[in-house]
This record gives sequence, C-alpha cells and structure tokens, in this order.
Amino acid sequence: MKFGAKTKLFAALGAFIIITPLFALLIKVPWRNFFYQLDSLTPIKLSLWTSVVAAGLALLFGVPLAWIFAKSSSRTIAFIRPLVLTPMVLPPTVTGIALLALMGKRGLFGKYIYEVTGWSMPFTSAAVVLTGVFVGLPFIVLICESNFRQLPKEIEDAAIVDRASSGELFRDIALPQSISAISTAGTLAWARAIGEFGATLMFAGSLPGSTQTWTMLIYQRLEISPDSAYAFAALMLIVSVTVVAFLRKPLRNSFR
Amino acid sequence: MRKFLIFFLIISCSTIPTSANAKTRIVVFAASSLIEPFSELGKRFEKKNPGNVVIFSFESSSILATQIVNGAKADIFVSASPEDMLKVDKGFDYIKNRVVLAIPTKSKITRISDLNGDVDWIQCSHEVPCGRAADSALRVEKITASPVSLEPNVKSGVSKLLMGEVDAAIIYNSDVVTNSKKLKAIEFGDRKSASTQYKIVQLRNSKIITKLFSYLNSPESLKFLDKKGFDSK
Repeated sequence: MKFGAKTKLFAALGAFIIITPLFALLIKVPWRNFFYQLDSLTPIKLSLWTSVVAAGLALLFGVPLAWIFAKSSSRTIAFIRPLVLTPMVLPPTVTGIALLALMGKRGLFGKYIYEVTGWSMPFTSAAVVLTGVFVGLPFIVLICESNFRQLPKEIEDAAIVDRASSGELFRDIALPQSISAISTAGTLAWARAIGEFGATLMFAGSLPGSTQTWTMLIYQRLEISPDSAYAFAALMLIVSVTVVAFLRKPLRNSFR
Repeated sequence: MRKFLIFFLIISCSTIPTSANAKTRIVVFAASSLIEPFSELGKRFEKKNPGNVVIFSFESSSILATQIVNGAKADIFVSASPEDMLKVDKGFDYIKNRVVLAIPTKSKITRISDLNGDVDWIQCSHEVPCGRAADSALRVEKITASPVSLEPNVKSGVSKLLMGEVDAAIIYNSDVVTNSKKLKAIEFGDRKSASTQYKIVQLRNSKIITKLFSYLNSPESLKFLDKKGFDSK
C-alpha cells in the first residue's frame, strides 16, 4: 500500500517523538561500568515481586469483572463500567490521596483495621501492591471485555444448547479462547504497576527494603549520582522493551 | 475550518506578544521549604513593581540544581544547602533553617528520645538537605530506631504528618510555623547540627532581576522570613 506524503511526515514525527528520547537516554548510560553502577538490587527485587503479585491480583478480579461487563445489560453495570476505567486517566497524586483516604490510618476502612489490629497499610509493601492493582486493573478490564465481546457466538450457543451452566460457559468456553488476550492484559497491568511512581510515593512512602521501588530509586539517585540513575533507568528500559517486543503479536490479536 | 484556523492564528499572534511585552517575567527556583513565605514575598514584590510577574518553581534543591545545570532558565536560585548550590555557583549565604521533630498538637510524644519507642516517624531521604540535617541531628541524639519512610522532599513529609499517617516527622521549623494550628515542634538539643544554610544566587542580569534579588535580601524580607520560622542571623 502507498501512503501520502503528509501521512508519512506526521507518522515519522510520531515515531521520532517516542524513539529519540529513549535513544538519548541510552547514549547517556555509563556502559563502561554499567554493572558497577547497579549497586543496589533490593529496589529492583521489590518492584519485580510487588508488580507480579499486583498483576496476578488484578487478573484474579479483573477477568471476572470484564466477563460481567461483556455479558450483562444491567443498568448498575452500565454505571460502574466507566468508573472502573478512571485509574487510567487519574493523575498519580490523586490516586495516592484516594488510596490514603480509603486505607490510611484515618481512612474510611483503614481506621477500623487500625483500631482492631493495630496495623495500617501505608508504608508497607502491601501498599505498593495495592497501588499496582489499582492502576493495573483497568487494563485487564478494557482488554478482556473487548475480547469477550468478540468471541464467536456459535460456540457459546452450542454450549447453551448442551445445557452448560453460566459458570461453565465462563470457565470452559470463554477462558480457553482468551488466553492470548488475558496474557496481554496481565503483562500491560504488570508494566503499569512496575512503572508507577507518584501514587506509590504518596501511599507507600519510600524505604529501602520495604517500599523503595525501582522508579523511586532512579528518582533519588538522580540527586546524588546521575550516572547510576541512568544505569538503573536503562535497565528498566531494556526490561520493558523486551516485554513489549515479546508481546507484539498477542497485543495485535487482542486489539483486533 | 481553514478560515477558523487562520482567525485563530491571527488572534493568538496578536495577543501573546502584547501580554509578554506588558509583563516581565522573573523566574525564581527555590527550595520547596520556601513555598509559603516566597509566594507571599513574590506577591508583595509584584504589588510594589507593577508590570512584573514573579514565577516560582519549588522543588527539592538538588532537583532544581540538576535542572539549572541542564539548561533550565532561572533568574534567581535559592538552595536549602551549600552542596546543592555548589553544583550551580558559589552563591551567597542566605537564611538558615533547622529541622525539628514535628508532632500533632495532641500527641503522646514529649521528647526526641521517644523516637526509639513504638512510634511511626518519617524524615527526608539522605540525598536532600532536610534529610542531611535530620541525619546529623539524630546522630547527636543517639536515635537508633529507623523511620518508616524516607521522603524525597520535605513537603511530602509534612503532608503525611498532617494527614495523620505518621506520629511524628522530622521537618523544618518553618513548616511547623506554617501549620502552627495543627503541629508543634520539639527542638533538637544541638541546634547547630540540625541547621542547614540556605544559599542564594542571581544567575542573570537585568535591572528588575537585581531589584528582586535585593528585595529578597532586604531587612523587610528577612524579618518576614524570621517570623515564618527561618533564621536570618
């Protein structure tokens, strides 16, 4: 297919805007002593495990939610659906304040949890995970819902004729056909969770070992040792590019 | 559509330059601990010098210094520590500020040493001025307990204390003065180790920038900063 000159120009600019900053970052990285700069792996480990747990939880809750969104015509559902997508457009500070308002020591739920157990969520790894679930869930719902809507109706109808229960319809018919969409959704939610910064800082704080995440480390390193910040940033870039490359095909399929 | 676009272009071309000509913008990069008093001083300066707008960028001193080194256009820079000023310029001694242990007005904490007990407290991270001051003050007091979080700038520590998420926070005396209805301060025994020296520098030359620079250094401004919990002596 041929493209017009203007289309090509704007498309090239679009690609340019995204690719050049990444390239510029890679040039600044002190490759010569790259591994020497990566002197603290604790925040990386913390970010990896919290984001994986967050993505897992987001899948656990998000896939059934997407199924109901796809299949229900109730008014309540029509009202809830846009609300569930709000974390995608919410500024991180607002997310942080909202989570504190709910789970903080004086929060709506947090108050009672603290009174009964003496435990509160802020400043714990659990807060990092919850933030990840909150920002990752919409990706699961969005991708899986559109996937569930596009499943071939015939198979479902045949199963209904064979008296499949609604649970079986979801578990045995819909889920097996949606593996690719679900894995894409899970990976995007994971990527969103591992990249979260502002909301995590507000809700979980920053302490090496329990709440200082990879992104937080990059931010703090920038103040004392930019070289080290570049190295940690580049490593994150490499990890995310690998994931996106790995995802290319399923990503295309699930948005089709 | 095209007519509308042209119309829009004409409007925007004709409005932007006139407003820029009418008002001179002076850009001040200042440590985030100065948000409240500097915003007020900026307003006073604008009132005395009509036609000028003072624009502030408040962040932790080290971030601001990095931004200036990377080409951010600042006319005046105020850092909360000599280390961060050195990245940009030698600078001049300005005011001092000291960290204190801030607690809510109703609190069971009475002494610094209570931090070693069952208390959730926070301080700034070791990279920023308020964190360095906290570190040296705590060393003198022989505090061995750890904070629940190391905040990247003083204001995020203040907000967590105000929201009641922690029992205490090591923040600037000036922040306690600003929130004197809700917070009170416990002073560290050795005030010198808890203090940080602010530095100021004028980075570009023009009549109006120099005027603002001397206004920030004037007895009136320094007195005002003293009232807000800083120390100009």
